[in-house]
Amino acid sequence: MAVAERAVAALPVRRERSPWGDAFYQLTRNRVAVVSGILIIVLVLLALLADVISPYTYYETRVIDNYMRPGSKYLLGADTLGRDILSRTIYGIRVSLSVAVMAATVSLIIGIIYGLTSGYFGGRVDEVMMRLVDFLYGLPVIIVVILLQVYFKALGRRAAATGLSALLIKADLAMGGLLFIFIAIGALNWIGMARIARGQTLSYKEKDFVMAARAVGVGPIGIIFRHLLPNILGPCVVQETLQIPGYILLEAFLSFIGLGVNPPTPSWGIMIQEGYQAIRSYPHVLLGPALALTLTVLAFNFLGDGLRDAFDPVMRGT
Amino acid sequence: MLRYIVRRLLVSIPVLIALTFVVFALMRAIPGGPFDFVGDKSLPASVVANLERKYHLDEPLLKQYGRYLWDLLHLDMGPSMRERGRMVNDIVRDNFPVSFQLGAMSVALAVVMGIPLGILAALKQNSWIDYLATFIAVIGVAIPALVLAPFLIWIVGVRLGWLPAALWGAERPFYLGFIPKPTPDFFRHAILPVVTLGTGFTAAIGRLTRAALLQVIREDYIRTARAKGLRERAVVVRHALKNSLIPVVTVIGPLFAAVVTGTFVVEQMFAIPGMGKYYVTAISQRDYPVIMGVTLIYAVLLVAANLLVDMTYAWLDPRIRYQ
Repeated sequence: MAVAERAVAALPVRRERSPWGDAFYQLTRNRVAVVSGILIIVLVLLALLADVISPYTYYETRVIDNYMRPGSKYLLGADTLGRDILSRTIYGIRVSLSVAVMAATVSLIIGIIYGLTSGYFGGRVDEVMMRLVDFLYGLPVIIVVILLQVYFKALGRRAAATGLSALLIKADLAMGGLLFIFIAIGALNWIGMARIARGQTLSYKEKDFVMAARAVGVGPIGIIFRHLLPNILGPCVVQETLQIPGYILLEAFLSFIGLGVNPPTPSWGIMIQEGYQAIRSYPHVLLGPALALTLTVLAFNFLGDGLRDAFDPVMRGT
Repeated sequence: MLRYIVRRLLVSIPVLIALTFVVFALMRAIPGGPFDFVGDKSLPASVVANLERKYHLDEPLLKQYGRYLWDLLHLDMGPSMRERGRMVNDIVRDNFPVSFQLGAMSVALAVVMGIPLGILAALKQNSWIDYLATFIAVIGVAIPALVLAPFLIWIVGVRLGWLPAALWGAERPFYLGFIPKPTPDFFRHAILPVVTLGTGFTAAIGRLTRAALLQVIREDYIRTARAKGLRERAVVVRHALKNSLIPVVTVIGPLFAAVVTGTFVVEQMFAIPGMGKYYVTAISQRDYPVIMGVTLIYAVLLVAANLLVDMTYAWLDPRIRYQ
């Protein structure tokens, strides 16, 4: 065998990869993103296994132990009602993660459908749909979210509702107030996604493969779902991941101002609110929720950055 | 340029009317009213009816909205329905300057710290300086005010006792209605809340500056500038930096509007008498004129900030011209 051939055979084999596979490979080489991903998986497991892992329930009060410092009985101490802070922090993962997933999904679905429609049909339709988006963009998000939450809370207090609203109120109660938070946060946050999806659609719909599909007689629905959607999905998902920390913080903020989940459902926002009121005497109350909130947001930030770098190698590290 | 500004201001009027109308409709759709409770007690129905008549709440909604616009034309934002004897104008005059001072200083901190940080990271791309700056920026973005505020209050304010952990040190009256006297007491009180609010912005602006500068530095006209033998410093400062600031200015505009109208968390935790708390209390208490007032201030500031941003574009990038 010739020397050159042997040298080639000794080279590591590079398998061909799909764009998604390549992006995943790039992601696994980003150490910070991998650590963040692992942390998020651990958080998901903790949330699922909260009933098994937590030393106490999140609602059980033992007033005699109120504000007990961290020790062998309570690892992170107890709060004003003598509830175990560690257990409440663990159950709090459920609230934060479900808000992250649900708000992102809602915003992704509405935004993509809206942006695809607007971008694909263009012309007058595009004009009208984008003017609406521009207008909604000018609304002060915080005020609208607070208005919606106050509205839902007021609805919940009036038991006279019937039909669909009664059903929603019941479902919301069963979820500890989470359902209306999903709606309030999702209501405005699809706007940015709609713009991105529209931009992506505009750039893809003029490509040759779309023309080819149209030439062989594929209808608008087929082109949108079979040809455009798979192409724009990647960038949209990446952009959505970058929004997740914002959703988590918005939920914490809502709970902090008393417009979030219903007590005793533990949200890190409520726990921080309770902790800061006792900060001079019992700073340990803050430690659990503050650490958990920061780490979670940090992990989603790093993972989002890693995903974007993996999908868009040109702008790596920005 | 002047014609452009005038046209933009005229165009913004229907936008403002539409925005206030949406918030008006939303807030009136919420069940309950401003006179449901006084403290914990509810008022007799006849008293509520009288109060509603006094504040014209018994009229058709559109008529009420028209009345509001008419009063607004006379620069009157109406009475607060919960703080007896106070007009919304009074609330704005007393509380808005404080939020403005806090917000403006935070944005200033972000600009002064964030832009140089971003430039440094971009010029030393992929060096340890870059990695360190980017890492700090990501952490800065991720630590929420909800966590940073109590942390600073406890460490710096309580344990070390170096700085006051609460209240606002500005003496009234303010110059021109909103500029405080630069007393030591003012700055001592301002440091912790400004750092709390400014950390996230600093990090965000630093990252944005870095990204934008990296993109601009690959453009042809930068290569031209280098090719004709300019010093690196001149290339960066004269040619690259101005253009790379365009995305930065774009985010600073809306950010400024959001921040100077008050951020609830920081004002609440540091017990600062600003505008922030009204965003929450006015809505929970259905204090309609106050809700409209805070919305209006926010919207006007947003329009003004966006106009300023667009005018800054023309200065930063001579290719942008407005007719």
